[in-house]
Amino acid sequence: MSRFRRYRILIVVYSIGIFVGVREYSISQTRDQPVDFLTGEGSGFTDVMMGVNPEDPDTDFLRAMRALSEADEEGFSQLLEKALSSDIKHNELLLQFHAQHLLNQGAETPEINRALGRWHENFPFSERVISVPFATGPTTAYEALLLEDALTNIPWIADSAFDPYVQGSADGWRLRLMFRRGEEIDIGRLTEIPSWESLISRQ
Amino acid sequence: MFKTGYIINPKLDMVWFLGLPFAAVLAALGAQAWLPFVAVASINLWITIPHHYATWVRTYGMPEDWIRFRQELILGPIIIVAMAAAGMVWAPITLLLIVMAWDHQHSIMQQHGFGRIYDFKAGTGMSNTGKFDLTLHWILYSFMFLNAPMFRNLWIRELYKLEVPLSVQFVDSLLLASRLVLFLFIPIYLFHLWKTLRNGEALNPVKYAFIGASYFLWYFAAWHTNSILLFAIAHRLMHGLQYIVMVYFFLQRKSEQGTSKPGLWSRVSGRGRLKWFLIGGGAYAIGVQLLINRPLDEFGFGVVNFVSYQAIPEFGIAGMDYIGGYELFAQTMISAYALVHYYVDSFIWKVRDTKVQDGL
Repeated sequence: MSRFRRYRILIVVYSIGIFVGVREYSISQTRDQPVDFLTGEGSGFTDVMMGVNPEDPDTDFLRAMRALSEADEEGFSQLLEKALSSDIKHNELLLQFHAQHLLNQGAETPEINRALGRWHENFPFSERVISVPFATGPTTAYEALLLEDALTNIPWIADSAFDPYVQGSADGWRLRLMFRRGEEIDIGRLTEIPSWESLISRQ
Repeated sequence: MFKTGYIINPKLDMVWFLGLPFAAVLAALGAQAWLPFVAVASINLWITIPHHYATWVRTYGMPEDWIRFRQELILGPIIIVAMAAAGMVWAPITLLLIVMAWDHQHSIMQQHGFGRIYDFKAGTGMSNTGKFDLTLHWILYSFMFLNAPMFRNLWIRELYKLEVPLSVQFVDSLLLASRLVLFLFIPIYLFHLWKTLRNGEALNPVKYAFIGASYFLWYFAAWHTNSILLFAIAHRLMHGLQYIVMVYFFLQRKSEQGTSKPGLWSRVSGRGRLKWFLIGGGAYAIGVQLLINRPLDEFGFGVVNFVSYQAIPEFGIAGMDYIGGYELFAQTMISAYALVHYYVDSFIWKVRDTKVQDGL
């Protein structure tokens, strides 16, 4: 009895933990990925949050992502702006999506820079990436090397990967970028040029 | 009817146990307004990690407690580390939930424990007051956890991850039930207080002021904004600082009594040793940060760090990258050590000084 008393908190905590853990493990065996709340899969969660937390900026973000999944670009932008107007700082995904959205929409460079700056000011050690679209990509190893060299000369890029959106396809490439902390981000060094070849020739 | 008793003394209790929650809320509001989210990590380094160090000093650094709890102090960490490793591999969400849930329980128990000390020191309450107090804490805290928008988001999301979908109606019913429990229990608790007085026992008003201040912080931070930043900073300041203060004064009293076997604890506590206690906590936080391979910049609230400065072409000054910034910091430290050496040597080696002459 005294032994139980000594370890009772561990026994209680881990009894519950094992019960929940077995549940999680059995779920993980039936799915490849955990539930993604930002896609249609998380629709039920979004419905509940809209019902119980309608004024929460995190709920606005969920609604924005739902609008995006329904191809409602305008609704997405409005809801995202609404969430951002609350001076939200803790939701890194939101800050990242905002910057990525502006980039995809071809927004003005200072606006994208502000969004990227806001994200990295709050999460300076983030390892999340952002994608910059390009129509074409390098076709030879030498071209790829030149591109890599050009990218290493941009101080705020810590790491990069250049690949087609669909493997094996020549249509649509993306440059995925990881940021170097402490460097001021100027996306204009990538977006204000017409192609990846121009990026090389500018160096 | 009323009898006062204090954890440390009236003045220090006013600062650390009654005033601190309000100061913590102000600090958190300031952080919310002016600092980036990385400030939460900084508070973690300055307060939360050193408060763990205070636990290690009290347990592993105090022979008296080490001998009393040796079995738990050896076996407990082995089980916890093994279960954490298993959780990381097979059930990471569950591990996260355990850490979060235990953290909440631990927060309740700390404030309850301080309340018990108030009754103990004043000799107030009845034999079952502790149980009533604990129930009050659980009901008040659970009410906040279920009802505050910030926490709702959290627990509903985690249940969805475990494929326990909830309907809006179910959540509403749960919230209604939590309100009912709260409104039913408050009269019961007041009845207990009335019964305490009728039995000729006294109440310690400082305990209730302390409980009120604690819940002011939690409720204000949980409802005032949807920002996790505000709650995280305010809560960590209160929880961590109160714990550090409690451990320090506990060790100091033990030191003054002079009946406990010396150990690490006696080197960092007692009159004039506060600085060693604080330095130990700071060094521990730096050690942990290096061990988990996180940047030391996290100490800087997103304001003080090794970030570069940009080029100023007008003055011909080149920009500096992060590595350059760190090198500059390292060089500054080396130079500063040298300067301190020059400064100190300028007065400790005076041959005309008779104290120096004694050593020659």
